[in-house]
Order: sequence, then C-alpha cells, then structure tokens
Amino acid sequence: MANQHFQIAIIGAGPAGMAAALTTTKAGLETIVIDDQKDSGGQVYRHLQANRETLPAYLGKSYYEGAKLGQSFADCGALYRPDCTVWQITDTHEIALVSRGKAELITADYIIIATGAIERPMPVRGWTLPGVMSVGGAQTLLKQAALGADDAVFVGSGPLLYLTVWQYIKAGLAVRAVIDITGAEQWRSAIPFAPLALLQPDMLAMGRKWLRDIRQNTEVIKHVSAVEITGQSQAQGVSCTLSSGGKIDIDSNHIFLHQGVVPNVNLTMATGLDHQWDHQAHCWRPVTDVTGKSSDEQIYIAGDGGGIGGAKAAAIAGRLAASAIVARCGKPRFLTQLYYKLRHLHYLSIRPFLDRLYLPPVHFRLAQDDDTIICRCEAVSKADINAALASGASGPNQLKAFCRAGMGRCQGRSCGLVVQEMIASHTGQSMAETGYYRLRPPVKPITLAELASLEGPWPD
Amino acid sequence: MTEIAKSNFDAIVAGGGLIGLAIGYGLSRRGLSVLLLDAEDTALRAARGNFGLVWVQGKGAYFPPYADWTMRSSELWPKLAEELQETGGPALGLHQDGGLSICLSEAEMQQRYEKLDHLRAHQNGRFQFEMLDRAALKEIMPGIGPKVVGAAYCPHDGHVNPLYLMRALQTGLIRNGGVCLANAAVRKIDKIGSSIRVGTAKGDFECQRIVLAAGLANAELAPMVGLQQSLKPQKGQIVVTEKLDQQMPLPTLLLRQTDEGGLMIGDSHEDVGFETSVRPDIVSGIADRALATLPALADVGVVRSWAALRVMSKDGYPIYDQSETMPGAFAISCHSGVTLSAAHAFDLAGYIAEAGLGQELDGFSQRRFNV
Amino acid sequence: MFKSTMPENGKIVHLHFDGEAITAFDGDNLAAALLRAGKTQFRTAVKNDPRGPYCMMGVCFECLVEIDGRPNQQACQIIVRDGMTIHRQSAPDSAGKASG
Repeated sequence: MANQHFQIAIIGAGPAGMAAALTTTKAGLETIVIDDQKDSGGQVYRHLQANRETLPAYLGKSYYEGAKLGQSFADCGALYRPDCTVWQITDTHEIALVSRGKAELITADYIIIATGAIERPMPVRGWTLPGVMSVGGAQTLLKQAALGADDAVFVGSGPLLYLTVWQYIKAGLAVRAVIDITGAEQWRSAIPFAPLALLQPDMLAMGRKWLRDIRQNTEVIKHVSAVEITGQSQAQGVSCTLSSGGKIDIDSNHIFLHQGVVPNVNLTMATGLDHQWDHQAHCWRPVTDVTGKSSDEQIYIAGDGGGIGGAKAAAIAGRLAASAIVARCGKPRFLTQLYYKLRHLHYLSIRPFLDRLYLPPVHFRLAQDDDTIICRCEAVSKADINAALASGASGPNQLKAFCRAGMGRCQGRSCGLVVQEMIASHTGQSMAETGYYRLRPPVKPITLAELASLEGPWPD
Repeated sequence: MTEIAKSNFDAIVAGGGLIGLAIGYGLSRRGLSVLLLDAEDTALRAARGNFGLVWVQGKGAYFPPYADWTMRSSELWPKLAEELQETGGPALGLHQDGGLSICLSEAEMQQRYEKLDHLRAHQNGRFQFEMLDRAALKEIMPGIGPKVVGAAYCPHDGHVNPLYLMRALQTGLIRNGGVCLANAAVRKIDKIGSSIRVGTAKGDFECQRIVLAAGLANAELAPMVGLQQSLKPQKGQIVVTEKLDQQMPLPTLLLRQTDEGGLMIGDSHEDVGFETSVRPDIVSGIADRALATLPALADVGVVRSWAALRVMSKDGYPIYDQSETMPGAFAISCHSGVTLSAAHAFDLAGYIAEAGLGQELDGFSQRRFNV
Repeated sequence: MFKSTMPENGKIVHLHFDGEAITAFDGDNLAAALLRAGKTQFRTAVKNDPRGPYCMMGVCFECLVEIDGRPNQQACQIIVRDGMTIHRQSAPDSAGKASG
C-alpha cells in the first residue's frame, strides 16, 4: 500500500527533528522530514529564516542561535516535506500523511517523532473569549508577523511567559500588567533543586534578566488566588482576586495566558506507544530509554515531545536518537553517543528546579468557577463535567462518553489534563491511575475526500 | 468513592456496557438492589464503539424469534426513552422515523429485497418495508450520488445517542439505589449456601441473582456458573466527522447524523481476533462509500475514528441462558445492544427478576449450537 | 489593538472578511493579518460562543474560518493570497434537535 520507503522518517522540523536529520543524512541514511508548518524551525524557531532578513532584535539572542541549525538543515540533503500533516502511524510503521488534499502512506525502517510541546491549559472564566490567547500564541505573532498587542495583560507563570513579556518590552510595547501565579509553595518545593540548576548559570542569568526588566517596566501582581476574564463578545479585562482578599481589575482586550508547556502526546498516544505519568512535571510523557527509543523498537522520540527540556536539549536529543539509529544501521559511534547523552543530561539539569518552581498551583490547574469552559471544542463546562461525574463516570473515557469532553477536533489538547485532574480529584485515584483519553487517528482532522484518495473503491 | 459499605445485593450484574446497564436498570426499577461491576475505563468496551442504530430491517430474516424480539424492543423504545429522560441528563435523541439501507448496485438491491421479503413473510404483516428506486430515494435524500441505485426503506428503524443512553441508564440505576463499581471485573463466582458469591479485585459480594453481561469476557465467565457462551470478536471501524448543519432526514445503515451534527460513518466486518487498531485502508474505504452515497461530503473533516469488537455468536443472534447448576445465574450476550436495550430493560429484566427466562427466548440458548 | 513592531513594508495583498475589504502583506499568516485588521472573533462555536485564534500553532482549532467557500480552515496555518474571501463561520444549526 505504501508509496515510498525511507530508512528514517522524522516527524517534526523543530530543533529536535532538524538536528536528527543532520546526523542521519551525514551517515548516509535516506531521510525524510515531514512537518505540518510551512517553514522549518518548529515553534521555538518559528519564522527564523525570514526574520534573519529583517532581524527584529527584540526576539533575543537565543532565538537567533537557531539560525545555524536551520541553515544546516536546509543544506543537509534530507527530503523535506513541509505543509504536510501526519494523521496516523500504524503498527506496521506506515506513516499516513496528507498534503495538498491528497493522502499518502509512506514507510520507514525507523521513525523519529519530534512533534514538540503544547501549552498546559489554563481554564479561567472567560478564557474562550476573542482577544484571549496563549502566551505562545502571542509570541508567535511577534515572530511570525511582528505584531504585538498595545494593552496586553499576561497571566500565569513560567519561562515562556517571562521571555515573551521581555520581548514585548524590548519591542517597545507597553505591557499593562503581569499577573504572576508563582507562589511561596512553588519556591519551597523548588529550592532544594537549585544547586542542580546552577549547572546552567547562563539560563539562570537569562531568567533573572527577564524578571528584572519586567519588574522595571511593568506592573507585576502576585499573590493572586483567582483570575477571571470579563467581557461578552470579546475580552474586556481581567479581574484578579488577591490572596489577601482584595480585588484588582485591569482593562484590556488582549489577555495572554500561560502556565507551562507539556509534551504534545497526541501522535505518540494514538500510535499506541507506552506512556507514563511524569509526577515531577505533572504531565504525560512517552516511555523511552535514554536514547529516546520508545516502547516500539523502531520508533524514537526526540525533543520536548518526549519530555520538556527546551530548544537546546531538543537538538541534542535529536542527535542522540539519530545516533542510536545510525548505530543500529551498522555505524556505531560510541563516543559521540556518550557525548550527546552527557550534554542532554546537562541541559536537563535545570528541569527539577524549573518544573517545581513553575508547576501551577492546583487552583489554577483546575477551573474555579462552575461556568468555566473546560472542553473548548465542545463547550463543556466545569459544571457539565461534575454532572457527568455524579452520573457515575469513573474514568476519562467514560466521562468523554457521558458529556462529550474530549470529542472535539483538538482531541483533548486543550482539556485532557484538566479533565484528568478533575476525575482524579473526584475519585481519589492518583493521576497515573486515572489515565487519559484514548487517543485515535486521525491525529488532526482529515477530509473524507482526502481519506478516500488513499485507496481504490470500497471492496464489496 | 470506591469503597462501598454493602456487600449483599439482590442482583449483581457483571459488565457495565449496554447489556449490563439496561438489565441493571431494569432490575433496579423493579425494586431489586443491584450492584453493577465494571472493568477498567480502557477495557474493550464494545458499547462505547457503537453506531447508535435502533434497527429492525433485516434482523432475524432467517430466524423468526430474533425478528420478534427486535420488533418488540423497537416498540418498547419510546417508553424507555421517556423514562430515561427523567434522569435529567442530555437528550437521548431517539428518532424512530424510519431508516434506509443504501444500495450501490442492482445486485445489492436484489439481495436486500429478498432478505426483507422473507422477513415480511414470517412476520404476518407486522414488518413493513419498501424498496425505493433512485427517483424515489432522491426525494428523501436529494444529494445522493450517481452510483446510488436505490435503498430499502423501513418505517420501524431509527437511531439514538448510544453514549447518552449509557449515561441515562447508569444515572437511572444509581437513582434507583443501584451501586456501580468500576475497576472491579469479576474474577470468581461460586455458591455459598443459598446465595451466589462473586469475587472481584474490590472485594467479595453476595447476591441471589448474577447476570453475566461482560461482552466478550462472558466466554471466560460463563463456565463459572455452569454455562457456555461461544463468542468471537468481530472488528468494526467507524469514523466521525465534524458537526454539520442538519441535513440527513433519516439514518442509513452506514451513515447517520447525530443530533449534535456530526456524521457517523461505518463500517467494516473483520475477523482479526482481539485487535482494535484503526486501519487507514479500511477507513479510506469507508470514506469512499460515504462519498459514493453523498458526494457533497467531500470536504467534510473526519475528527476521529475507532475500531471496536462486536460480541459475535456463531450465528450472530443473542445468547441468553440461565444456569441449571447455579440457579439465579444468567449469561446474556448480543451485538445489538442499542436496539435491544428496551427489551432488555423491560422484558429480560422482568424474566431475570422472576428467575426464569420466558419461553419466547428458548431459541436463544447456547444449546442451539450443540446440535 | 495589535500594532506592528517592525516597519511595515511589503507587497500589499487584498482580502475580504465578511464582505469588508482588508489589506495584508504578501506572505502574511492569515490569522495574523486578520488580527492586525482588528478582527479578533473568527467564528461562533457550539452554544453560540464567540471564538478567535488562541494558540497560533494549529493545535487548538479555534481560528476556523471559511475561505473561498471551504469551511473549517485553520487561519493560523494559512498564508494569505490576493483576493481571498474569508467568512466567519457559525456553529452548525442543530438547534431544536439537540440539548447539548
């Protein structure tokens, strides 16, 4: 059934995918790189090649550090297929993809899944209103279109939020306020791991710089117990309740939310790979060995999709997985692999500290108001989910059946973790025991015509 | 939440799918205390893979007891829907305005006609149908594609939301005092005095009646009560689309529109054992047939697909049995859990409550395979 | 309002959004172009919820618009083309038949 065969298929052209391709092509392996965006770079290096011409300085040094990788990738000789969406990987390693209205199947001896991360949902009342975006979305607008809001309020916590506010300030945009939900509880649990974080002093220094510039250029509101976004047909403002009991209301039509990034597990779960609940990072991640090999002998995971580590860790992870595959194809490079393993560990040394510092408080992980929408796609509210729980729904899939949460196009990317935690909290089971939605292909929607284009007429 | 105080019930139902829920609900509404034991959230769960048809046409064409039973259930369905609506959950979306099975060739039309004609003959006027040629079908479904030759229309057919049905049955069961225990698959069943003892991972329970309604797992459980159920999995794949404006006046055998707006499109019949992966070639074929039926659906997006395992007996008809060695033990399985929900909730639950399967169900015993 | 943070130059491209003429730049991301033009609501979802772009990376499916007659296009995944006709899309009509 398959049209083309490759030795290596890499899914995702962010730092992990690009770096992996450099290693596999250098070793002479036939490599295809499939990505659903129009340009390489994934999200962290989005629009980088184009920005190298106009060079918006406010995007910062680390962004431009990705340029060399992007250039090398463009020259490496891999077959690069952008604007191409993978909707399934079968258990016989066929990759079903759709491009320009037509579906295809390709096969590969080895597959590297490097599909990156998504933001942890932040369900607050009013978060579905037009004008509310994720911080990642706001940052993408800066990168992709040099657009920034002139009245932005940022809500949440985490490095991506601080970086984006910093970029806003450097771009000359007036940030109305930053509502920082990091609290003493987070600091207490993170401090014991600070020594490990000191292995990456440049990362810490960068973070301190962002926080200092933010403090000096905008109002930072802390000790907030609840946040809600007001407005009818679009966002009009944010109302925060302080832990001390007071309230602060801020007018704004553009509110950007962020409370961390988590691996995007939709493709890996739909492929049937084993996953584990990562207690420290409070999210799901595929089970892999140290080189990124998944529970399937032929499939590797590299980059944030296997566990959050950031762009540099992702690139090394891509190299590491690719080297492991190259070794299995008869060209072992033990020292190189060891070097990648050690560098990978080094980049990940800051995670125990960061994961704990920026784990959102439970009252922000869960919605606080009954009418808050939890499943955006199907407009299922917290109250609706509680009603389904009262009807006896005891797991995410039964709950999905009872109230439609998770049945929309996004297949749980915007609600899954919240629903899981609501169920765990209701049943008393752990997050790991509660489990997650059973994800199925197509991992992204595909039209009937595209599906039908895959094969001949219905066999009677 | 998962600890329950009581350990003695009038009836225990093993299996929280459509069969178990309908029977459990039916028993509970007759005043019996019911414990429903369910396996894991990610177990095989045929009931959650259901298409949602309340379908009469063709059923039991060559086995009159099944035709009678199906017709009976179809007639009882409005009563079930009305009762369940009182549980207050989302509307079940029961529509019994008729249904179509679309034919893409003259041969298909002929085959269908012969089957339905045979069914009509032994139903003494109770079963009605009409073969619609292309022109007549076009009046009902103007968008049919050029490959469509016609359809068999049956006024008794309909559809419902099978997931909301499960929710309503479960809510109803709980409201009637029933208890549902998840992650509590049955491991052991034996007699203890005049009662039946059921062992699960969540503890032991006692009852006067046990109903095995665990789908494919019934094959393992039935011997524990001195019965047999020869069941095999038959895989079926379904795709679901994004929501569209309401445009399908009637459900068809392979394509129906839910009240929420999405189209459910099937299907396949595969003998591949306990295998539930979605195959791109199969769903491609499903898409192909959908577009042959309604070409205007070309740009409609499929948002998910699944494969589920039908609980299939050798002849495809239900297996209903009560144990002789363990009085009060019943084993119930079928693959038409939606259509038969009403008969299960009312009639079958009634038989079980009175501890005796009625004569009308004799033909469904496993014994029919022993000739 | 969204403002440009770099000098705006580039070939102008003409779009229509719900009948209104909008200008964009050649190579623009469609969602970005609409936001720049002050349009934050791209559609009405189930239960008549107004929605607009959220993630800008193709995973939230909120930025769905109808382009040149084809519905359910993710605006954040599309580059503008001169003459593109875009419409806000409304939730499918299932009113009266469904309660949820």
